[in-house]
Amino acid sequence: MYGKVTAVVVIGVRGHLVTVESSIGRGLPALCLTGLPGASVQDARERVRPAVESSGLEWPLRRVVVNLSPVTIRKEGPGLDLPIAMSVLAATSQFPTDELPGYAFAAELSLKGELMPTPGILAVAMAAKRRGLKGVVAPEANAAEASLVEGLEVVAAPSLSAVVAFFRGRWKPGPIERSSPCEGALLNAVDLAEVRGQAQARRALEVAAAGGHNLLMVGPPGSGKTMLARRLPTILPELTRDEALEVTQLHSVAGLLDGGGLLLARPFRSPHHSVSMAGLLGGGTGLARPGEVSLAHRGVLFMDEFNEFRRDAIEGLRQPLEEGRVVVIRAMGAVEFPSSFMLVAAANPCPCGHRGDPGRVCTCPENRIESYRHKLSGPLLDRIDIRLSVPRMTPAELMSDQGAAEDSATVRARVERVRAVQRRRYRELGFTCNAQVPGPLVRGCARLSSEAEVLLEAAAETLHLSGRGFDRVLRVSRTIADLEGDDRVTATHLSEALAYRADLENREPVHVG
Amino acid sequence: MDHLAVGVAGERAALSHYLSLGFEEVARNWRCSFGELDLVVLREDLLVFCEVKTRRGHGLSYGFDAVTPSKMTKLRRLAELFLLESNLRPSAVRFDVASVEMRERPVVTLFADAF
Repeated sequence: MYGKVTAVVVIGVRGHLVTVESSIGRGLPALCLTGLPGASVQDARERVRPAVESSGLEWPLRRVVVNLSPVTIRKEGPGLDLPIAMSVLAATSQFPTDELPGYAFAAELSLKGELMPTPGILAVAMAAKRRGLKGVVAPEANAAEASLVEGLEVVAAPSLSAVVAFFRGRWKPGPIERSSPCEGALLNAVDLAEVRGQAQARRALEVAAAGGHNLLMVGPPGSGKTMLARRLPTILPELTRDEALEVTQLHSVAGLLDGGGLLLARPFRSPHHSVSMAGLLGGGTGLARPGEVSLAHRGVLFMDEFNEFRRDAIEGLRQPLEEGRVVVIRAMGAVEFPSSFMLVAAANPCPCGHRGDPGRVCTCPENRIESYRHKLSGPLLDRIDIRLSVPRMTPAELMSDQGAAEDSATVRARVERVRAVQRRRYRELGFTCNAQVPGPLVRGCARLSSEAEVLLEAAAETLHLSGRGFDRVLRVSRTIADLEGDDRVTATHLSEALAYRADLENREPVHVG
Repeated sequence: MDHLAVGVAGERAALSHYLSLGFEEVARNWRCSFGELDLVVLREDLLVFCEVKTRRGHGLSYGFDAVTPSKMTKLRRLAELFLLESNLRPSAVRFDVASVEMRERPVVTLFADAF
């Protein structure tokens, strides 16, 4: 009385094959789970038996021992319900098992025996494919994401009885509706054309998108910081298929995929400033979930009220910003999530928000402004190439009809062209955009014209540019030159780049535009 | 039938089940200050201690649900005491639970080697 079924456990974003063995032996009827099941898998013990019985199948009135192998990894997640049920049914010979070894199983069961939507099915399907299995048995609700893996049979079943009927040769899954691959632009509900005025900020947004530069916006409330940030993903290049699969996989693991297939729009995440470390960077008890930095992978992480975030949360951003991944350390081992995103931070110029606003009076005491700004400084700011002042628009500016502004598609076309130029330039160095080039290299890559050299020297003197500040200006000016289609960085490019450095240490905010 | 009579009828049904399997009766309702062993039967040198749980009618519960871990521990101690007192020296000992459902005829479900 022995049965064996293949299951997949998702750790981080990677699926690991697990063998679920059942042995039915002497003793009082009981289900005993061995092989390091986590709390969520222990849960399955009570769920599987009613699910089997209400599917018109028989639960053995014997002692059932289910072993999860290899025993070295802790198994978490609800996806083991179905494989446990199937291995018990196989051990009691309730269906022909000849086809069984070719399939991986993953699904949560309801007490009625239905297969419930289960997180991480894309990772499950990828693991099954990688290990050369023929197919995957998954809930009907997750059919679209499972079918993203080419060359893998997807048995998307509504219930346990359907799965058993499939192996008995009495049921075939219907064709899977693949979500039609739509244009990326159609998926974005917002467009850059909706932003009125703010020519300077629009330009900075375009430079940031073109060079992959992180961005800090400082401005009074209501000046449009959130509106601008929300539109950054719409001018970024469209996701490649591989990137879209990465994004989809992360959202699948987080359980945020609403039955759809491939995610084609770049993600935009804006966590509230009260977010916990685990919420921002990933973690949680039991199954480690990707945090906001990973859900923003290949997209934009917008942190409004940047200096209201907890200090340790902001410091925690350094690893993802530097390495494009985040490692969550658990007692059971480290879990790694990809998290390569563009950071857009926004802050008010002072606690009341009106400092530097010509129409309003700032009521903040000096010492509070000091401590407020102090929270903004620090090593993380070194990673932010563009610092922009966003002034409030006057009613006249808002009302004036300056003609239709450029839409996202037009800007995106320019950004894609410039990204291609950068990929070609850094092909041998392994970078994809100007923002990734480290300090020592950027001085060689920037290629300044002679007048630009002179201007830079003067600026370094008068503006007291630090070493890192110097590199930031070079990186941004390189992107501006790329946008203009120039091989060399001219004085014009450089002076624009110098303007994108609203100085936060300075008492008087530098006004731009 | 009061509940005691049901119990006795169940034990009788369980015993006849064992007899049909080739066992012989060693003791029925063996008592000491700790408690009681429902049924002790022997086949060659295998001694079986059986806890009989009887249910009236087609209940939704099986009798074995009433055998809890603390009950199992108690039955093991009773078995030790029984072996001390008796002059039997079996080479193997087994604990069974017999679940008896009283219908027109009693239906015996035997969980051999239950714990």
